[in-house]
Amino acid sequence: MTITYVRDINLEIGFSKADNFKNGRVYILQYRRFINGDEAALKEIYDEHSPLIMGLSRKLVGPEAEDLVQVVFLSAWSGRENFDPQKGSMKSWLCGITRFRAIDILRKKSRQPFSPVDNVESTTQTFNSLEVDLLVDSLVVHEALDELPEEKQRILKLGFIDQFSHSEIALKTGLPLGTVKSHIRRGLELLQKELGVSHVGI
Amino acid sequence: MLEYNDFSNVIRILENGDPYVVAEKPVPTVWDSIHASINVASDKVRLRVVENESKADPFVSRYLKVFALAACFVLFAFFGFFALQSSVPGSSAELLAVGSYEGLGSASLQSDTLIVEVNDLQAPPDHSYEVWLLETDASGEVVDLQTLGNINSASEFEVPAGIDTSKFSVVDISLEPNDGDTAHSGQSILRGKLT
Repeated sequence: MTITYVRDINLEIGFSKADNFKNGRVYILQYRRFINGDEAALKEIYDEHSPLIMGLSRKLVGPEAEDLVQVVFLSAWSGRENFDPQKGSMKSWLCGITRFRAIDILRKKSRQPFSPVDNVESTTQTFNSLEVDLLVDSLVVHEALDELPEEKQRILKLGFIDQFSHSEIALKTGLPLGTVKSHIRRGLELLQKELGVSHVGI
Repeated sequence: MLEYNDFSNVIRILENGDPYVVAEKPVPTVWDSIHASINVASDKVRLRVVENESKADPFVSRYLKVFALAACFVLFAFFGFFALQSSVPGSSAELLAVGSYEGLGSASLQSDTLIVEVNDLQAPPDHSYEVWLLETDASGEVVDLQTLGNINSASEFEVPAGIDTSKFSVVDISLEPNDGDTAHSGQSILRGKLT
């Protein structure tokens, strides 16, 4: 209870870069309300992020996606004091929770005895925990790239996905080499930060 | 310094192109279940658990011992007074200590005003006492609650319009840290049913 005030100060002085690109003030207030236990703030967060979490859940556990989404947002609620907007975005944090809860579900499933009925019905792929990790990591990176302003996004994608060198990107975009380098360095730092918050279990 | 290689496994996935996750709006029942679970988990369970396990703050405990003695005198005087008055409008409740807390108090309802008698109860630093009306179901579980305000600033509380005191019939006094959290702290000190 008493740490709430300290956390409020933290929320005032810094928040994740990815969220900063949007209307920072609104998000600070929303996170503060969320951490302080305002269910309306959870609903806002749910409305914004549940379609992505649902899509990820569908991919990971197929027919049990609805259950997983429910467990993810209940985990986020009960562990809301662990959310620190300075460490990464809400989206990455939620993706991280989905990662751990999906692995729980898949492990439980794999321990269940063989059922011919399930086998016939199941058309979805099942993943092991390494595959889940990789899928969630790439989603977090993809989403973090997506939140960046257009120019930074373009530069990072050219380097990251299309594997162009710094000077090739400078040539392609007409930007000074120094600008390209600093955009890429900061972009990679952001991606590392977002991946980090998605690996913290609650 | 970070290199692309630090993300090489992720890059392989991204190279294969999007979208590998298709956003999908969950059906409304998903939120309904979340909402229901949260409300069971917070108010009901928290209040119930605290009743069994609450540990008194030593400061509160010591203070309330002194207070309890004083309150006994007040109560005797109070009920004695009403015993002489043949008709008492509205209903009243004797407030008894919850869990390991100690103390006594009383509350009486006069039309839409709840008068709470707890002598000059003083909260520990950075805490205050808050008065609530609780609605309970047949098994005594809290199903809804309504704050009336802090006890430090008033002893008469207006019951908001729309709060049916035949349903919200339990008067509850809680110890609240002054942390801006408007939810019930779960630390109930005194409680009694309006009859």
